[in-house]
Amino acid sequence: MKRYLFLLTILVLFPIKGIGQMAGNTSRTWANILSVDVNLAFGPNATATWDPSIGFRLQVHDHFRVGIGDVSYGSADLLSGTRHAIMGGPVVEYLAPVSSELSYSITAGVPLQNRWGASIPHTFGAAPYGSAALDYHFSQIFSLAGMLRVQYLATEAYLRSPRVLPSSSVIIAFGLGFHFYL
Amino acid sequence: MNKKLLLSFSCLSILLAGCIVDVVEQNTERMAYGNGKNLSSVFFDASIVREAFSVQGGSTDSLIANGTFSLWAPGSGTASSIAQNVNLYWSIDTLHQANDTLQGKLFAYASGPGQELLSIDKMAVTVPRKIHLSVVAGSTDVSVHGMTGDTYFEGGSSNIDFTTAGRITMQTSSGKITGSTDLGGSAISTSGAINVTLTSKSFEGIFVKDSTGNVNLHIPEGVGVSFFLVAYGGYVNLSYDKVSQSGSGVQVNVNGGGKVVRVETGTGNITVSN
Repeated sequence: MKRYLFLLTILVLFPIKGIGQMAGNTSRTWANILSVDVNLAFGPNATATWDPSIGFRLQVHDHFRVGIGDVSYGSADLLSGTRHAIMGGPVVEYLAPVSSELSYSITAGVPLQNRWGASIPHTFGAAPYGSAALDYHFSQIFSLAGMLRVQYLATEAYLRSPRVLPSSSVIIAFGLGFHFYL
Repeated sequence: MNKKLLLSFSCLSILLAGCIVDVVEQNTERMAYGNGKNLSSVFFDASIVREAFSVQGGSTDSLIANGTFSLWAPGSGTASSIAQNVNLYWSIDTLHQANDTLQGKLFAYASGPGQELLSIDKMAVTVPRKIHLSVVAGSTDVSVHGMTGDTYFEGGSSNIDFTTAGRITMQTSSGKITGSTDLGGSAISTSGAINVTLTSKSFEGIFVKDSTGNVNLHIPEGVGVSFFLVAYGGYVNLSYDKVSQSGSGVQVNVNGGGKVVRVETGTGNITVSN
């Protein structure tokens, strides 16, 4: 059920790509991007989980950027101690302008996670996601983005501060992005 | 077309955003018992307790712990299975310690799969009231009551409230320190308010230091006290045994002086009274 929800959301979001192509000219001065993102999702009992991260993406085509995203550190207090995690992984972004101030983008990424601590052996995790963002460009070098991310936990567990989530969870998170164009 | 698309996207974001699908939370409780006879001290790491940690001094030598654990799992069946693996026990180090310096610790662990999914929500412990208590916490609120031994506490944003007949040594960064002690000791914070009541005329002395937080100190009447009160950017108000003084600094002996009460703040205000 969760897999279907994940796939359905991706399918719903991806048609935006086609419409974006009609928006036409992307020859703006912004190109490579340094992103500082944070997203929030509530778990059981309204427990807030969040994931701040940074990333860097190189523009390789009018409509595409590739790079490293979701570089982050997190921790969770378990009953045997504090579990730590570092994350990061490849990201591909499709972008399209809407107007002189607005643009939107579709991003797919696979953050990989290494967890350690709390007297539990090192463990790796992966949680692929698709996200859509709407950027408002305050200047040539800065934009503020609203983002919706759908993420699937593909491994046994995945740390998302302040908890560790079980396998097959689906995270639907809303976030903000601070994007700096280099 | 684009406007409709953007509007739809925004609505979808608001409707769906911010949830984790198909994860359930299950709570389970465990109790642990131990013998605290000959125990001289007990140490707790409360930083891994997510909500609250409390210590009660008991009249017997018993060590009792009652923990509430929570876990997130994909379903209630899996959650129940993982919950069975939770263990809680007391440990007393008799190998490396002499009999008169035995230290006790509380341990929690989980075996088998799913151990990463378990957290401690609350922990309540009862220990012999006469022993030396040490608690370290990060942001967890801590309460300590009914102790007669000395109490050491170190926290970050944790608030602590306490009642003890022994000495206190307490330090936080932004957490509040609130409580009463018979013998005094020291309480230091960076921005948390400090409210301490000395409950016995036989207190030994007290040192309180805060940077931006306010300090309120109550002292029983009729004690010879030497006050050293300094608020570098705040205000000092002393009203003790018919002696009233105020300003940015007050240094005075009351009832002939004797026991030292030293309070320092940065921008916080200092109030000392009966």
